[in-house]
Amino acid sequence: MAFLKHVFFWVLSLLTFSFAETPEQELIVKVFKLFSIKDIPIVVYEHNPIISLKGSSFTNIVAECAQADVVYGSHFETLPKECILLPRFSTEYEIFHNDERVIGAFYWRKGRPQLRFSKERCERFNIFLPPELVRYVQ
Amino acid sequence: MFNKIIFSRFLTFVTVLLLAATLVFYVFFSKTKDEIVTSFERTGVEEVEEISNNIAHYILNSNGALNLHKALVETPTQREVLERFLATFQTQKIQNIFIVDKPDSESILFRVLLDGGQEKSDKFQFEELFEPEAAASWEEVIRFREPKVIYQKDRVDALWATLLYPMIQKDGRVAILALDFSKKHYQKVVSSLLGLETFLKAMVPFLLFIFFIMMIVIRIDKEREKEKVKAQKALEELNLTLEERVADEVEKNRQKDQQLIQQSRLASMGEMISMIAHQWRQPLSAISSTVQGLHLKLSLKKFDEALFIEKLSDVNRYAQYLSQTIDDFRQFFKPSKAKDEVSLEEVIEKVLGIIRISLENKQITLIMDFQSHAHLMTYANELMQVLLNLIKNAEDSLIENHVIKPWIKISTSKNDTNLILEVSDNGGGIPESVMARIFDPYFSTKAKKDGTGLGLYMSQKIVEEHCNGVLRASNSSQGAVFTILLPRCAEQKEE
Ligand SMILES: Nc1ncnc2c1ncn2[C@@H]1O[C@H](COP(=O)(O)OP(=O)(O)O)[C@@H](O)[C@H]1O
Ligand SMILES: [Mg+2]
Repeated sequence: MAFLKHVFFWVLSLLTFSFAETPEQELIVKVFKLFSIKDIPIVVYEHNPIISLKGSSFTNIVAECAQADVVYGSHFETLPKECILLPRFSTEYEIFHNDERVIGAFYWRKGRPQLRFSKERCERFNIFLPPELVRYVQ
Repeated sequence: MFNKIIFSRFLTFVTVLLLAATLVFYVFFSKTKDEIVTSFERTGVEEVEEISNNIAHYILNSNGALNLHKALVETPTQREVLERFLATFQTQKIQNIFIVDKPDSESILFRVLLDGGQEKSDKFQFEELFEPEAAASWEEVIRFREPKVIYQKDRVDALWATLLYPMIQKDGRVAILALDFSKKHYQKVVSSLLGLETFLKAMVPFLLFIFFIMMIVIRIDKEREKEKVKAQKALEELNLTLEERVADEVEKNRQKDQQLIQQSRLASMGEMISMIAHQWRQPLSAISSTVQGLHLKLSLKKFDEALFIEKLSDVNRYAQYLSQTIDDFRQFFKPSKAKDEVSLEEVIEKVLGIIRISLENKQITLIMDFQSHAHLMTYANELMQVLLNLIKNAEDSLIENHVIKPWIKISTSKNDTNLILEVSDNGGGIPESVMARIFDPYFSTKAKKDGTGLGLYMSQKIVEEHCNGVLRASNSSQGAVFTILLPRCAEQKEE
């Protein structure tokens, strides 16, 4: 059975490689795909996140904040002016904790992946949290 | 062949033994490995558990509050002190130490109270919510208040494990002291044990494979051996039948020889009868003329008793001579049953007794030269037959070639090893072209004079096979020379 496990592992890693999606990317992509504003899937503006979604299966990424619904990044100090008002998704707990515009975050703690959302902030931005994600709300 | 079978059997035996040994060893080893691992683990866990116990004790007694969270909220300075205390336990072996509780039993999230971590980017903040990986186990610790070890991916050989130690607070609520501890220190041992186990595991199918190969090889070998044995048997049978065939052929040959002997006997008999005719002509005519004379005298009545007695005794002598010759011939044709002790000269005289008159009639001179005078043990009658044959051949040659002054010479001599009998003539000899074949059966140059071609063949057989001697033919300047060598070892006494 150990052998089968091995085969399975290799097949899995091969598949992952062909999609060029790391498990982290996959998870974030899943989150973004679940998000919606008034039943319309969200459009993301990427701002130097630690884990970039470029090259992943998520294609709703735009180069201009004008068309975007959410800014995805790690830190937001250098954010262009037109993006400042948009809701944010971070890869840092600190930022999520302190920045009122950050609606959610994905980060690592003691080698354990953490996904967190703020219900209140989501509501403020009219972002609908699907039931799958409600359990990560704090 | 025998050794090969034994060897392959031995090899199979060894393989089976090895297989069994490996299996037994594997089972034993697997068990032992698990024991070693669990014992290592137990010691590791026990150690961490003791530490946890100490930490929990210290922290719970560090303040008078009923609830740790409450105390920490009330006196934030206490947090720093306690986190520094936790940090002192962080070593290579214990990486993370933090304390959580669960304010909301509905949520999957836990609340961090204290974190001994030093690195800022990975440090829990006070009241930071936290989602453990195996949340169910964490809940169980709170529910059952029993320490628990969580392994990464449920594998014994995983590098990290987490000990969840329940801290029962004074208000009865349970907080969890979580310690991520490394198993590196014994992981090397475990991984080599695992390697060994894998090796043993691999060994079993390998040995099985070898075993099957051996079985197949032995099978093939056996089959081949069987075929070989079969072939051998067939060969042996063939040999046996061959032997039988040879025996058959020999028997046939013997019968043929017997026939040849019979034929040559008959041929000699024919010759003999003509000799008897010659022998008898003279005494018979003598008897006849004597009887006629007596008859005449009787009819003329001019007879006197003395003359009658004389003439009748003459007739009687002749008759006795005839009877004597008959005896001679009779004896001659009896094949000798046992060896007689005779001298060559006696044999020659006996033959001449039969043949002399016939030769004289043909004006053939007989030359005799006897130097041997030694006795020997031999089949006399057979030897006489041989001699008769040789003389007859010489006579044939002399007559056929119309030799002017024909002679036949019979001589005997001896050397250290042999007695020698030589019959020679002046008939011109044997043509070189037929010399090599004269001893062959049915070889004869006397087609019209009804030669049988058996005389020399039989003579050679008799001399060589019965008398252990040698019969050779050669040519002298005048004619053929036949030489009989008889071994002297058969000789008993010398005169
Ligand atoms: N004394 C001899 N001189 C010449 N030729 C001889 C003599 N003896 C034998 N031979 C040759 O050997 C042949 C074979 O002799 P033998 O075996 O006695 O058969 P056969 O007398 O019936 O011909 C004769 O035919 C003859 O040619
Ligand atoms: Mg002859």
